[in-house]
Amino acid sequence: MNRLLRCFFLLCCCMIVSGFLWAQDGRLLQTPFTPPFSKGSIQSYFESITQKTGISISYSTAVLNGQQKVKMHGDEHSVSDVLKTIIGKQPLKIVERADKILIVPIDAPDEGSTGSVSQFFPTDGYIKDKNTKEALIGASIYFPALSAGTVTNSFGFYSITLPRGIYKAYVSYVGYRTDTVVFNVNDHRRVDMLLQQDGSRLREVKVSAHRSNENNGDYIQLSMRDIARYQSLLGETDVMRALQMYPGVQSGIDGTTGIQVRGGDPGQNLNLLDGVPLYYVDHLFGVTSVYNSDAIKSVDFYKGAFPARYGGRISSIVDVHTKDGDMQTTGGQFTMGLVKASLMLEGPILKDRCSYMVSARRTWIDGLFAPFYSQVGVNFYDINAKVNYILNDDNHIYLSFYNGRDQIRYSEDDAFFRTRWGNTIASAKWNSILNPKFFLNTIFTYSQFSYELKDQNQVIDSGIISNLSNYVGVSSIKDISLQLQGQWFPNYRHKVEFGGNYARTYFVPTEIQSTDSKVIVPPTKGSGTMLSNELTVYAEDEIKISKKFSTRLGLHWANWYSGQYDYSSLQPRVYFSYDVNSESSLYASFSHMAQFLHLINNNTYGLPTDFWVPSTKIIKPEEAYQGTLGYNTTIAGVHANVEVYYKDMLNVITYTAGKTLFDNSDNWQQKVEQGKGWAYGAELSLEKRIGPVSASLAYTLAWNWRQFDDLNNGDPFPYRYDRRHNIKIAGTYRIKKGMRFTANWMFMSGEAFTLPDQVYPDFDNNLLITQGNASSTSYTYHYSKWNAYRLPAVHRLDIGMDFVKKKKNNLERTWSVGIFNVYARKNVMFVTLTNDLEKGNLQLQGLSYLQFIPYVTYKLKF
Amino acid sequence: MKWTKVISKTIAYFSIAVLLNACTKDLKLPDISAKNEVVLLGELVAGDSINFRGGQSVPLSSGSSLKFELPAGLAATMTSSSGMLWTLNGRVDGFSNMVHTLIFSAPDLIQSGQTYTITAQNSQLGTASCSVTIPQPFNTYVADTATVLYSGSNLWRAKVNIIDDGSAMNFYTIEALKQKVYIDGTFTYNGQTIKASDNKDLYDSLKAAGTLPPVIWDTSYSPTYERVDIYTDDPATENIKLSNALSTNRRILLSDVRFNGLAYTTSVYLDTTIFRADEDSAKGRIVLLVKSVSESYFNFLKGYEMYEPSTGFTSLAQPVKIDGNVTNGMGMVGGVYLHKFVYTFDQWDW
Repeated sequence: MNRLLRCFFLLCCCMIVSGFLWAQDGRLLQTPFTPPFSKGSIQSYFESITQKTGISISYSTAVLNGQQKVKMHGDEHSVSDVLKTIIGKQPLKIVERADKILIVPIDAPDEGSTGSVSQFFPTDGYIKDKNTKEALIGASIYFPALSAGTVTNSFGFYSITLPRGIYKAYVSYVGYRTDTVVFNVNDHRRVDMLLQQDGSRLREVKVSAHRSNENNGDYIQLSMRDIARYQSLLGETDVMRALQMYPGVQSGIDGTTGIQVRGGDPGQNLNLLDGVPLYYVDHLFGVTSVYNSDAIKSVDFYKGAFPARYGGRISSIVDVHTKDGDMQTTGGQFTMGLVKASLMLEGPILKDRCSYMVSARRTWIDGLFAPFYSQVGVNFYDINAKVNYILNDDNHIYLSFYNGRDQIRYSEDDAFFRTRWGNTIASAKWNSILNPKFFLNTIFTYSQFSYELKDQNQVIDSGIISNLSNYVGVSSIKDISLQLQGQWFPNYRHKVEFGGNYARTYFVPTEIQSTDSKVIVPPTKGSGTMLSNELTVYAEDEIKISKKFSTRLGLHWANWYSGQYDYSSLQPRVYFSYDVNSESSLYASFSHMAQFLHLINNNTYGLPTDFWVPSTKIIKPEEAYQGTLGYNTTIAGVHANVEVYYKDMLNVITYTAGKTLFDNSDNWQQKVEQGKGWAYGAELSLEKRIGPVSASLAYTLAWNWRQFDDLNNGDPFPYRYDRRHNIKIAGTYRIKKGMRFTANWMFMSGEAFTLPDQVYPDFDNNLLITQGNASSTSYTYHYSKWNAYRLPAVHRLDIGMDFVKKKKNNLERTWSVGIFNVYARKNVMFVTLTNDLEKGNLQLQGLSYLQFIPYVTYKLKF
Repeated sequence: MKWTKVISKTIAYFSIAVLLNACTKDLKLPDISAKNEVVLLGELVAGDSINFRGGQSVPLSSGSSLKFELPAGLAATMTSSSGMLWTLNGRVDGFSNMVHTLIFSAPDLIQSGQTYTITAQNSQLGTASCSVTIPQPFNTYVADTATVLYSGSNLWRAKVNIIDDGSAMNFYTIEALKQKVYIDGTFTYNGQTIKASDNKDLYDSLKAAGTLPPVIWDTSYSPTYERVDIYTDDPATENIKLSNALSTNRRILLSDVRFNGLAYTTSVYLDTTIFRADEDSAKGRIVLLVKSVSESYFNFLKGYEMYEPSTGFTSLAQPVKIDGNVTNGMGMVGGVYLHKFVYTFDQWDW
């Protein structure tokens, strides 16, 4: 890791030095230039200079008419000569600033002047959806004349400080028509903008000067339109499934919604819902995630180049923002699929002042099976609710709530068994614009995940209860936090973010509560409630050093403490971007991340046998050091990104072989082990749109290793999901208005698993001891190496058709039909060894499901 | 725990109900170039004669057959730290076909405190060896027994007191086995020697009439045992660290970390299901074994305790690697010093 860090910083220093060298004043004006024509418009001369020298010239149309014809004297041999001829006797002056030349009024003071009147003025406001007044996150506003711009924050707010003048700006957002707005900058202005949705396009390229905010290998922003492109199993539209279509992201078991990012496991992903952490993100064994697509506005996903404001997990950030609610009209959406039904309602409480959004889902398929098999019940529900209240122009309040539950129930005669698990979260946010350059967000959050298992056995003999056991086991994690997030926009070259967070977390890893009053010998006590405090502070500056070169430098400090331990972690986060030209950029990043919580994961279904445990005196926080290097470009209309990464992980955690964690024990720390991990690889993504057809390709070549002292004799071994090749191809064809065809093909190399290499006769049998009815053919498996074998590769094709029809009264209904795994590939989920008595040998068998599953869903928007 | 079986069953039902087209397909085992290896299994018990078993493993490779052949010509030598040497030839006994191993035995008694080195050799399997240290003697007694309610079930509790000698690190196991006992008698009637079990009606009628001649009773014990499920709630045991107080165990594993040189009392709870039998052929006695074992044997048993042969192999479950003490081979020969406590709950109807 140290070598990687040194190399990275050396590279960055070179980039910084070259950027600053480029920024020296005076050099641009002296650049040799001979005009290719003696007479022409001012604008044509400026374009010629830019074309031949690469120097950008900016001016305000208020002070210079670009169409005015000028004539050269014939003795101009430098840029300065030409410009002096152009401005002639006009009251203008030529200013060289960083990497460009400005033509400004002669009495305009220099930037940063301490004169009594500043010539730079802030402009701030919100960018929202024209119809619903929903704030747009990450919308871009760009001033080409200044090569400057900014993007809206998580609440749709932007702020930018510009020199006096009149400028044209492009305001853009994916899925919306780009707007052109003229700014007359001569004072502080509050400019709120409304963008119109563009239903004809699936994807637009955002016009932005901030490369760090554009989708690249490390950062992806998804809108609902992006998520809807990837309908898959049972017609579910799901955030996590959409993320699985990007390079560097893979599922665990095929068909489930869990994600593994660049060699990390699911417990290393920070899943946020409106800024509140979620501790469990699967419903129904991973068929769908807890994120209700009907309630989602946008998703920010980071797998590298982590901004300093994020912390607490080491592999990825999934930051999901829900809708605020339509400020204008009441409406909603009803969706019915094969497994569940969903209803979303939104609308104004006070028009243009206060709105609400409520969305709920529940399975209905358990009701279908109930008449035939009432002993078993499996279902889930969840509900999202949000209220958005605008106190005044500078103050906004948001209240969010989520509650979801999964349940498995089994009853038979006098026995009853039930297990249920789920999240409950709530948050209250207060946005405040303290001044045009300063935005403050205060958040209070509550998050709880709990798992309960109830087992009752009642024996009734001659009408008398002769034996009764009532077993209840629980596992839970609950945290309460207060966060302050500040954003300061001193000028258009800097965007400073800083803040802090205090969280108090209560863990109950395992606890069994037996309510059997007849028990003389009670079970031993559980793990008890563990309390931990977390304090974080961060600061970050996003700097546009020059026209081509920008950087984001940040520091995140976290401290976890209780009566028994005190851990601190100082985490630098750096990101550099260099614009090779208007279509291409080179970028690099380094991040140090740490996490105090650990998920002991069963790596299989979305089952609640995963446990969150804290760091303790014995269990240290996990850490990761990740470096990335990437290149973005657009060639012949193809958006391409290629990136390489290396990630070092320390103190990764796993079960010690064969043990289960959920039990009545306060020794859970002895059942886990910490070790090392490292992952590296290359990612490629391509995207192209031609008319009604769009296609994308994501390819990942990756290696993923683990090492634990007590496993595999201490030797490194491949991580279970060390899939060498990962390919996803997605295509969409808009056949005609209201009809769309999608096809997704994916390929994943087989996962690694441990197979015994020998069997030998059973030990107890050879002591002539039998275990009940155990067969004398019992044998013992012998393992030499961990994860030395591979399951067969997984691949499948999913297709779908959407039929959209707009009806009267603003109704829009959509029928979606499709097939998951069209060619019925038997993708093996896991393997077993069975004793083939006929052949007299052990047979390796793979179990697969999810072959050729048709689906149909109905959606009604109103 | 039983709830794990319930949840497993529930998930299985759900999977079948919802995931309608699950199916299996046969996969080819990898072609590995592993060969069969020598396997040594058993215990060397202080005060008992030399007795252990040897066989061979089967590599899990494409085309290999799951058939434990008895390795003809498997021979072993055993040396002790006091310089004694035994040459042993593996032979077939009445259990070889059942347990797939040959027996190696000699009448000499195993001595505590000695270290024995076993070297087994076969022309095709090669040479494997293991070193077995026999623990020093120790004292133990059962202080108390009672029937108690343990988490809703009636179990039989024994309080075992172990007196640790403190001179070294000691490792203890406690297990319970049912050993069948055969009681039969012979008597003379009308000049004929009659076995009571062969003519129970005559025996019963003579007994009822009060004219039963003297009976010579013969008691024999089965060489095989049936394991009794055992529980513990002692946090000092490895079992609590591995699982929990409600899990059934084969053996209770306890090291002297917390009571080195002291007397220590631990309670064990036995499942009484097989304590009593209806049929004479299933009747027997409960043998409670308190053993001091070698460290390598203790570590082997820890892995073995987690291992569930009946559940088979699945790639979903974390594998349990059981570390034996056989070099260039597999298995475990453990060193043991044991105390035996016998309890009889069955009654014979003679």
